[in-house]
Amino acid sequence: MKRDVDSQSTHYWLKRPKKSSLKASSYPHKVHHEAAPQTCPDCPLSILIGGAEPTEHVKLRYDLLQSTWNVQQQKIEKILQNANIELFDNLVKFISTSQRLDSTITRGKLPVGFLQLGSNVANNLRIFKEFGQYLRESQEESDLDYRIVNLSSRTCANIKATIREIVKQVTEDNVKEGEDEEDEEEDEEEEEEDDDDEDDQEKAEEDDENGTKAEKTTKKYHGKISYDFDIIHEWCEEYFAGEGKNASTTNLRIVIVIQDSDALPNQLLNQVLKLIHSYSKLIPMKLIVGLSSINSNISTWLNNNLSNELRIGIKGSLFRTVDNKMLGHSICNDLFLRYSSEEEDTHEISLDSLMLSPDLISTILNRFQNSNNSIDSLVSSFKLSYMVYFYQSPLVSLLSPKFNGKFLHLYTDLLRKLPSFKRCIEIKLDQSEGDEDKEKTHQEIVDLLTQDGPLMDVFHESVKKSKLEKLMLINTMNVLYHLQDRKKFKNFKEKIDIYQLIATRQIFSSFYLTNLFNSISMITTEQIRFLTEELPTKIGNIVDTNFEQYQNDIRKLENGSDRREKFLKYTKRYLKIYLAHKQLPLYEVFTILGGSVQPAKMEVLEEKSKNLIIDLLRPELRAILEMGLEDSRSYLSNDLIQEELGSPISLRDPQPIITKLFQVYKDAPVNINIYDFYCAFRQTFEKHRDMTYLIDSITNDNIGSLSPLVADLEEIRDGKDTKDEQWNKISFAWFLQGCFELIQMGIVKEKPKGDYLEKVIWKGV
Amino acid sequence: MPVLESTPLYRSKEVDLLSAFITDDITTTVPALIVHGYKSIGKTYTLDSFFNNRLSPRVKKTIIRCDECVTKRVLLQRCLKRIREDSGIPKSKYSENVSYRGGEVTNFGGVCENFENFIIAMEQFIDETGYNEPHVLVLDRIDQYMEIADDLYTAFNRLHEQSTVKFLTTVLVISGDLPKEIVTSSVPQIFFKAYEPDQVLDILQSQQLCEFNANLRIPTNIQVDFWNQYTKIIVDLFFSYTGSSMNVLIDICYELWEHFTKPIESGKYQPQDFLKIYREIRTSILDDNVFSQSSVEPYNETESNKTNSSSSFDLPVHSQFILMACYLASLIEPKNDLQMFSKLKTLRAEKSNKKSSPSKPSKSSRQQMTRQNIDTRLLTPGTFELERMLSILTVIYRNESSSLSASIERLHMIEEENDNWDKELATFTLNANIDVNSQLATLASLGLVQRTSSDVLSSQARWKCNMSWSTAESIAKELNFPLKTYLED
Repeated sequence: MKRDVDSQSTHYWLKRPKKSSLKASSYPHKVHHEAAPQTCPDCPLSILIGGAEPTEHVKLRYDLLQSTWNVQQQKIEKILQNANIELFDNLVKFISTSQRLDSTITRGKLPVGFLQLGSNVANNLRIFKEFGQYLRESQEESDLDYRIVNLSSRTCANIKATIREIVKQVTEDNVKEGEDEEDEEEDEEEEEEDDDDEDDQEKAEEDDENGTKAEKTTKKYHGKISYDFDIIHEWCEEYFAGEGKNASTTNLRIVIVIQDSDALPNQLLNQVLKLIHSYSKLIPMKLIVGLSSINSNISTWLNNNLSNELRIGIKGSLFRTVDNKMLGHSICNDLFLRYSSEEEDTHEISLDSLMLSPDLISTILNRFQNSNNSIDSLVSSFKLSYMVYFYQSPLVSLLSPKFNGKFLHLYTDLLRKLPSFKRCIEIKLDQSEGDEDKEKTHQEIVDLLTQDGPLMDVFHESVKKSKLEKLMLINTMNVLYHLQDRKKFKNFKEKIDIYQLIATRQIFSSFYLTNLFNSISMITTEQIRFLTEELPTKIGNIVDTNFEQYQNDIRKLENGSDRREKFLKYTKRYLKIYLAHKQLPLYEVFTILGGSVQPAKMEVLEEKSKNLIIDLLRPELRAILEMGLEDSRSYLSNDLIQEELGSPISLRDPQPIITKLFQVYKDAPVNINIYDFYCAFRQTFEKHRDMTYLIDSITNDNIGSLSPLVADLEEIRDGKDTKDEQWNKISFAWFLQGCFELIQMGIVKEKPKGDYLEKVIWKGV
Repeated sequence: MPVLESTPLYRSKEVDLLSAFITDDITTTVPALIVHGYKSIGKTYTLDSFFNNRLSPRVKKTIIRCDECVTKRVLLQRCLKRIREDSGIPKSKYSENVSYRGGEVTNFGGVCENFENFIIAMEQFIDETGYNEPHVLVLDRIDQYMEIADDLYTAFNRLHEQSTVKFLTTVLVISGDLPKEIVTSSVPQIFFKAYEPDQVLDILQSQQLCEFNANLRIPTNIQVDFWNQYTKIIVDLFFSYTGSSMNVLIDICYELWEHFTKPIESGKYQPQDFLKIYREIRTSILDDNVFSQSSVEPYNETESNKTNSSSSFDLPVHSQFILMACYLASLIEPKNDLQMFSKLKTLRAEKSNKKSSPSKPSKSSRQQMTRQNIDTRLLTPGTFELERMLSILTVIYRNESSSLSASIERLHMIEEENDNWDKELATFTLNANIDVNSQLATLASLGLVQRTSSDVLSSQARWKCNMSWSTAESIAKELNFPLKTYLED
């Protein structure tokens, strides 16, 4: 449990002036960081509201996180599983085609499936893994026996290793996914042993027991060298004999999958293909070659990479994976931009009432599109958002029906500190100016500020409205989305982008809307039918009256010259009414904002804006590292260490060795003479003070076995040794350790000739 | 390949030579024989036919396909194993194990580490069984064996001299030049001459490879007629490209058959109207795909209908910018960096002044081409340091990125006062982004960027862009990046 807190706190380095403690109270999410966080005994979440949060509510938050994320995760998994079904179906069909039926093989051609993959390596690995599972599942339905051989550039450095890998994967029965990697490692090590010396005993056994021969073959390959392709041939012959069939009628299918052909050396690829080709008549083999999308034109790739002879020898078929970006968007749409269906909504917090802040979602999506193009990291970002939300905000428990009202005043206090509440009160004050019933409004405000009841009423009202709000948002988004013509409209935007425009109320001032309206040349009946029939106006008992009105309006439209104008008029009116809605008071509670680290500074560039999630998603690694090296407090002044020390770390406390070394390093030239470096480093110490500190800290720890050491150290400190030999040794040991740490961090590099170290970091760039 | 006859077409001379060199009498058979000639002109086929039809069945034969052998040891092991098997002597007569250097190598995988061991194993086999029948060992495609085969040529040549293995005749089949190791030794050679066009035609016409759809019920004589005309056209059209390589020709025959028979199947033409069909499809069959054999069809027709590949590159935006930066860093000389990427207007102005002023006559008269005069796109990419690329990346991303300009646009739209934004823009750099390095690594593993040294930390590590102009151009187009203005300045 403690470790959890620790790993968390590494991210919460707070570089804030001292006076900020006052300010911090206005940031409810932050309150708990001022006091030492305590963890709840039953769950990994820390107790918020300065430790005053009831433990059952902490537990409640944890349960809510679990249940909410589980639902979302199931959705994601479903999408991912179904994304490539069509591709897998095609691949299975391709693999299962019998040699007898395939005319190309009878002409001596090797069937090769070229699989076009995305540029993200991690995604591709996932696809292959899923394909392996899919193949195993489909194997159960058919009577075919698939043997999958996975080759990647990691395991296939040369032709020997490659064939050995193929042999191993074919002949070994049902290699399990998990064990796969270990085996490979071992195999590499045993490479030479395998070739030369083998066990006499086992060989003898093999000769004796012909009955268990099949099992022995897998180990011994009939005494052949482990990279002899004939092993596979013989293995297949035995298999056919067992089946009573031959190569063209067998149920066996060996599928060789080359996962990253781009990374394989060209020569190796040619050799492997040639070898497989020359055996393709004897062994029912199919080859699947994974290519990154950089080679959009397979023919060009073939011309550049394979020899002419080989090109004659293969018969290629092209397969395409689903576009990664589309997949990302469909995950987004499904998680956030959809009304939840009945069966999904059985858990405690209705998903419909949780909104993701448009800024946060665009940050996450932008990272996905701009930087890494990885579905896995997209999913984990979403998970992180949820986690931060449930970890940081104590107010979440208010949303659950299980909230028991304990310590309600704590929560209402927090609610009152929300910015949107402040705005709400201000608006009320403004309104009250011209109001006749001034007194009444004033009383209302006072009630809100002092009593829990009225505030909770406002809150519940808000929560209720949030569902309507979301419905309206989604409806508006869908209307605009479906008005776009995917082919003709140049500014085509994905749902999530439109959502962002609407949610930030920028839609009317954007070029996008004008362009969209200009691009609509005519309204088809089909479009109107879709808008009026496919989109719901209500979920449960929540009714989007504005949208209902809009639907009624456009339903009445008749075929005429002014149809387009009228349609646009109605649409504009609809949007206007929608946008007139104000942001709900207390919306912070049910919006996933992504946590906060620092007082939000207005940042202009999206790629620079900050909050906790963003900091976690794209930390400025080097800056953090350098800052930590310059001032160790950013790492060390966390609650854990302070608790142990009993006092906050001050600048006067001795710095860690690495920090000291870095100070020296900063002033050094590009090439640092090691001896000079050491001398300068030693100068930074003050023997007596530092040794005392060291001795003190050892004696404080009360470790009995160290007591002789203390005596030695005292001897060094107070000794008469004028040359300081012992002291030099100690400081040199520290120096060496520090140097190696710097080398490990890639900050300094040893020059090949010795004597000198070289700076390898650069500033500014 | 044509149907098996007693003698393959136009190869009777070679078969005669073979039967002269290889007989069923050990005393008159040559110890080694080289069969060579251009690839895919029927060497293996002729040998096969010779063994099956002409040679007495008393002569045992073993054929090793050397292009399947990864190392010498695999090759020799296969020889040993197959010779033993093909000798027809039951396994019980000889021991699997081989004694070697006093000790006994118990494991078959341990034998044939080198040629001496192979000889020892063979001699032991002879000792144990007394095998002395004429036996032919064909080392097919020995020039395509995956390691260097130099010493094998000589070793097999001298097998008779060095060992008691006298019954073996080694036939080396080579498709290229004669290896220099044995070109001077007195090994008989049989050269397979390349076919002439009409010989090729005769061979193709000797057997109808492609069949009409059986439902059409075309009489055999018409089919044969059609086939003859078809092969004539193919040879006429493509012989200049294929030469006598039968493999390629046969492949083309298969590939184009469908084009020719489609009009007949649809009922538009009769098989007798061959020339009409040819005239109609003439343009469609003469494209590069016929030669390159590299056309790849989408597996399912339905998939081709889905044009979901809107962009050819699904690289993330930042990766594309990194690629652009790499391309520029590779193709722009470092000394021009200031002109290209800095805001210093004076430098640019100076340069343009220089250009406009007439250059010295002595230089222009020489007309010497310098690197600068050549279009950068034609030059090989230069190497660059990582830092330089990162600086260029900062500049081009700031100037050209659509997401940054969108942010600024949004700012203007909101009309909010913010003094910081131009400062923020000026200091913005992608390099702070944690993903940049991993993206660079991904690009390197995709082969778009190359690294000279394996040590990333080394200050000598230099990088190089590995993209063609066309790739760079299409990425630039997708990014809306003015690549040309950066290059042509």
